[in-house]
Order: sequence, then C-alpha cells, then structure tokens
Amino acid sequence: MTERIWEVFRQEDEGDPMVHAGNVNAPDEELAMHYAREFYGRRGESHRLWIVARDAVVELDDPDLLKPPFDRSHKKPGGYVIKHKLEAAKQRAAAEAGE
Amino acid sequence: MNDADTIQPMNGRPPYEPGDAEGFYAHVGSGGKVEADDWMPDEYRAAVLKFVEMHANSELMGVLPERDWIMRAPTLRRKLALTSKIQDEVGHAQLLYRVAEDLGKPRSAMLADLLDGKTKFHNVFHYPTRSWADVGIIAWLVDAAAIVSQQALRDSSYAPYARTMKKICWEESVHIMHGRDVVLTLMTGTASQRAMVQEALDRWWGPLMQMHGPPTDPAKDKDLHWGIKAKNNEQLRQEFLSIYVPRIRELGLEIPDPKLRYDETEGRWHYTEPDWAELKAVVTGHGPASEERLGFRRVNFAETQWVRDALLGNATAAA
Amino acid sequence: MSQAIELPVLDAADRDALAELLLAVADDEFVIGFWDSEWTGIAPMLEEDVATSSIAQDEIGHAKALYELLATLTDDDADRIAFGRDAADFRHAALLNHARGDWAFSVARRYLYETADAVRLAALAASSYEPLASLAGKIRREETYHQLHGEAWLRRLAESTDAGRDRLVSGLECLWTDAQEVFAPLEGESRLLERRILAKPMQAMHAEWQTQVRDRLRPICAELPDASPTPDGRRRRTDDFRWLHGEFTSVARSEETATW
Repeated sequence: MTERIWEVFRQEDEGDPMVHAGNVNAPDEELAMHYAREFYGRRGESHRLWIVARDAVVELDDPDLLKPPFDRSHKKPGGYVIKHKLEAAKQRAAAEAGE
Repeated sequence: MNDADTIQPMNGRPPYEPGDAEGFYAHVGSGGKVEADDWMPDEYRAAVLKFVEMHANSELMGVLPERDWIMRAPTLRRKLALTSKIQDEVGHAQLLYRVAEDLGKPRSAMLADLLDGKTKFHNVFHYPTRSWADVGIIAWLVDAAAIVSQQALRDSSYAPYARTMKKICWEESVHIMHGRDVVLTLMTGTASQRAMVQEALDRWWGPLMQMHGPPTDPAKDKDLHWGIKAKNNEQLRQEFLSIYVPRIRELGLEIPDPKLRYDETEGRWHYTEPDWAELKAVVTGHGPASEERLGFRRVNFAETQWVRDALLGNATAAA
Repeated sequence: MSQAIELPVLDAADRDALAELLLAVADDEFVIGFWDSEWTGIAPMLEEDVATSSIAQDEIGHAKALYELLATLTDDDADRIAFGRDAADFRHAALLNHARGDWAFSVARRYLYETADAVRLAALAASSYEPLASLAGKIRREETYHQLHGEAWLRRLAESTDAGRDRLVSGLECLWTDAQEVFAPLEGESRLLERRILAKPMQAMHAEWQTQVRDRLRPICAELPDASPTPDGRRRRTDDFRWLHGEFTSVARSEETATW
C-alpha cells in the first residue's frame, strides 16, 4: 500500500459548479474521502465534494488546442457588435417615418 | 468594423519556450503565473521550494508553542476555538507541504531536514509561551504579522502557492479575531489579567519586530524580482505597525519601544532597530525553545513511525 | 447562556435522576474530547491530525451542549460545571480515566467508546424528555463520521503489520474491563425508566453493546473475558485523570471570579 494524491473538488451551494479546491495525501479512497471532508468541509462550507485520484485526472493544457490562433469571435457574443448598425437603422426608420 | 478576417495574435502560449530562462523571468517579472508542471528554471524552482518549505515548517513548528494551552483553555468555547485554531495550522502545514512536494521534494525528506536542523522555520516559533495571555497575543499579533506577509503572497507568481495563500489568509483572519477576543476579555478583566497581557506583550514585541526580517536591498532580492513574494520586508513591517500599533495602544497597553513613533512627514514608523543578530541566531536553531521543540518533534516522529509503516508500508512512509 | 425554551415539568426526584444521567454523558464526552485533543499537532500524519482534532472538538461541543442542558435544570452555568468541580466530582466512565497512550491505544479506546455511545444515544434519542431526545438526535448525526473513522482505523491497524495489530490488541485488552463502565449503574435509573426519560435499561444497552463488540473483535483478538459494569464504574479516579484535571482547571481556577 502506498500513499497517493487525491484532488478535491467542492460545490459551495446546491446547483453550483464543482470547483477545484486542493489535494490530500491518503493511502486509499476511504481515508481520502475523510481527509477531503476535513480540509474542504469541516467548517460546514461545502455542499458536496468530489474526490479523484490525481492519476485519474486527464489534463489538457496545449495552447494549440485551447487558444488556437484564428479568429473565433463568431462563436462568442462579443463577436456581434451591432451598436452602429442599430443606430443607423433606427435613424433611417425615424427619417422615413418623418417623411 | 470587426476584425473577423484578421489572424489573432498567438495567445494562451506563455511567451517563453522550455529552456528560455530569460523569457521565463520576463513572464514572471511582469505578473505572469507558473503552474506545477510548467517548465521553470532550476533556480526559480529552488527559490520557490525554499520559500514554501520554510513556510510549511513554520506552520508545523508553530503548533507547538500553543499546543500546551489546548489542555488549559479556561472555558468550553475557548477550548473549541484554540483547538480549532491549532488544527488549522496543522492544515496549513499540509497545504504547504503539498505545494512543495509537487515541486519535487517528498514530504518525508522535508520533515527529515527540519528535524535534522537543516532547514529553518520562522523566529517567533522558537520562543516559549508562559501564560494564557501569550495565547491571545500570539493568535492576535503573531498571526496578524503573518497575515500581512501572506496577503502579499496571494499574488505570487507561483500559482499553486498563491491559491493556497488565499485559503490560508481566510482561515488566519478567524484566528486573529479569536486572539483579539481573548486579549480584549483579559484587558476588560481583573488587574492581574491586564498585567498578564502587558507582560506577554513585553516578551513578544522583540520577536514580532524581527519577524518580517531585516530590510533587504530590493535590487538583490530575487524572491521579489521573480514575483515569489510581492512586497519587501520593510514594507510588510510598516504595514503591520500601521494597522496594529493603534489597536494595541487603544487598549491601554504600552509597547516596549520608547522610540516607536509615526513620522508624518516621512510617512513611516520609526522604531528601535531590531536585534538582527538575535534573529539570525534564533532561526539557525539557537532560540530559547528551538532545541526543545525540535527535540519534541523528533521524539514524536519516532514514536509514531510504526503507524506510518503500518498504514503505508516502509518505503513511502511520510507524515 | 440562557435559553428561552419550554422545559417539560419535572419534579425534584426526576430532576436529580436526569441531572445524574446528563452529567455522566457530558463528562464522558468532555474527558474523551480532552484526551484526544492532545493529538492535535502530533498525530502520525498531517491529514489524520486534522481529522482526529475535528472528532475531539465535536466531543467537546457535545459536552458543552449537554452541560448547558444540565445547567438549565440545576440553575448553574456550563463552564462552572466543566471547570469548577474537583476531580473526585467527575462522573465519567473509568474507560476515560486512561491517558491517551500511543496511537493504537487511542484507536482502541475510541472504538470501544463510540460503539457504546452509539447504543446509548439511540436510547436517549427516544427519551420522553424532549430537549434530551432532540440533543441526542443532533449528536447522533455528528457521530456518523466518528463511527466511520473509528472503524476505518480499527480495520487498518488490525490488518496492518504485526506491530500495528499487536499494539491494537494490547490496547483493546487493556481497556476492556473499564470499557464496561460506560454502562455503569446510575442511582436514579429506576426513576428514569419509569418516566421513560431513559428508554432502555443500562443492563440491556450493555448487553447489546457487548454482543456487537465481541462479534466485531473476534477476528482481531482472543476472546475477551467476561466483564460487567460495577457500582463505582463512574467514581473511580486515576492519577492520569487527576493530572488532566489539574491541567484543564489551571487557568480557569487561577482567578475564580475572572472571565476568560
């Protein structure tokens, strides 16, 4: 039996996302759960905890995949700036109505 | 017009390749962050490890001065509060050893080095505690001085450390409230309770003033340059004094430094130069309680080795 | 701290019997909480240090609530009850007279105590005296974790190295006789049973506990000897406890009228 590292995720309130909180050393899942409760729940501050062995976590941090170079603004609200067009359309409509 | 058709600059990629120390230092020097599995120069890794390891050691040794008083806490609520506070310090040691361990040094090695006297812990934990008033003074003022440093560390370039500091700072803020409550209760109590507080302050003021360390030359302070810490020692001491001197004095306590005063023109506190020789002697293991405390930890560690062996197997047994 | 709750009507004899019961349970929690809080800072592993400290703090919290309930009955103050008595006036079970010992000893005692306390709390949660039933219900919820953790360590030590198992067995055997005293007879027991303040006789609780524990420990150690509670099971004191008492009263009694 050896010691392993366990990552702990916590949920502040019902419905909140699980957020990474830290990690603990423990020889097995049961004690890892107890220790996760101690470090991230002993004050009654967490609604739920997830305990995951570190070696079970798959990490992706390649910026080629996560921050690729080409424009992707069409995928986000900020990519649709309509302020000027809207203003122009309103002015035109008002002008036409006024004729 | 939007720039839908232009290629965005490469972002999300740190502005340095593995091996590019200059690029790395430019990155951390301008507020960039580093994670545990990012490439980092050996020098930086060693500097962070040393810094975090000393911090972890201090939390672990810091438990001992107050531990005696767990058994002597005079009310049910104080008993709960003090035990909880010391429990938090043990928790901080765990958090910090975890950070250090992910930089490459096993916890067992760090504990061995601490017990062998090869690594250091902060000065204040080398002094004895003599009365219940010490419990209040330590929880209030020592933790306050620590939190001044720790708040600055929340912005450390080494992100795992910065995140841990946020949690630690939150927990320490509760300790300070507990400490101040203890002191206030004593200061509104009997004459001998008030005298107990003054006596404790007289003993702890010197170590408190030494706690942030001697002023360093900012140009030569690597920890500062590399963003491991965000403020220099003197800034931290000044900050501590500005907040806490008025709070100490308003209770009718006398600070045992006749030269302590705030200079409006210069915008800084003047004080008797702390005894830096004493600080050096203390942190190298020659404080009044250093040997006793390390000895205590050695005995305890040896006595509990069988548990780690039983639970984890000999090869990987670490506390 | 005064509480504005409606207390059921009790006559003097009921009150004395209930006070005796509350004091016994409160003192058990108080003393074990004290012994186990000593592990804070020096437990075998950092993570375990925090866990053990939480459990010890919970016990002190339970004691505090029990002393507070007792204080409402006897027009007293919880801190005065906890810190103002002499060692001879404590009514904890002899199981709690022992110093914390090594880790295995503490694990052994915790196992024996938690299992006994669980049986007792189940009966108290059915008390006709509502404030006690309600408090026992709350305590039982916190005890869930204590029981899980206690069993986790019992199992791990029992299944670990020879050294680990031997120490555990040694602790269990040493503490076995005194462990019975959690169910030591109370003077007012017949009154409590009559009024259903106590839902089950001590003897029945003791039998239930012993059966459960014998079954659990059979794979771990040789059959434990016959043992039963004794009349002075809550009155025997030891030097270890007298030392503890000296420690926890040292500041509280340094100035009798002072506030801390």
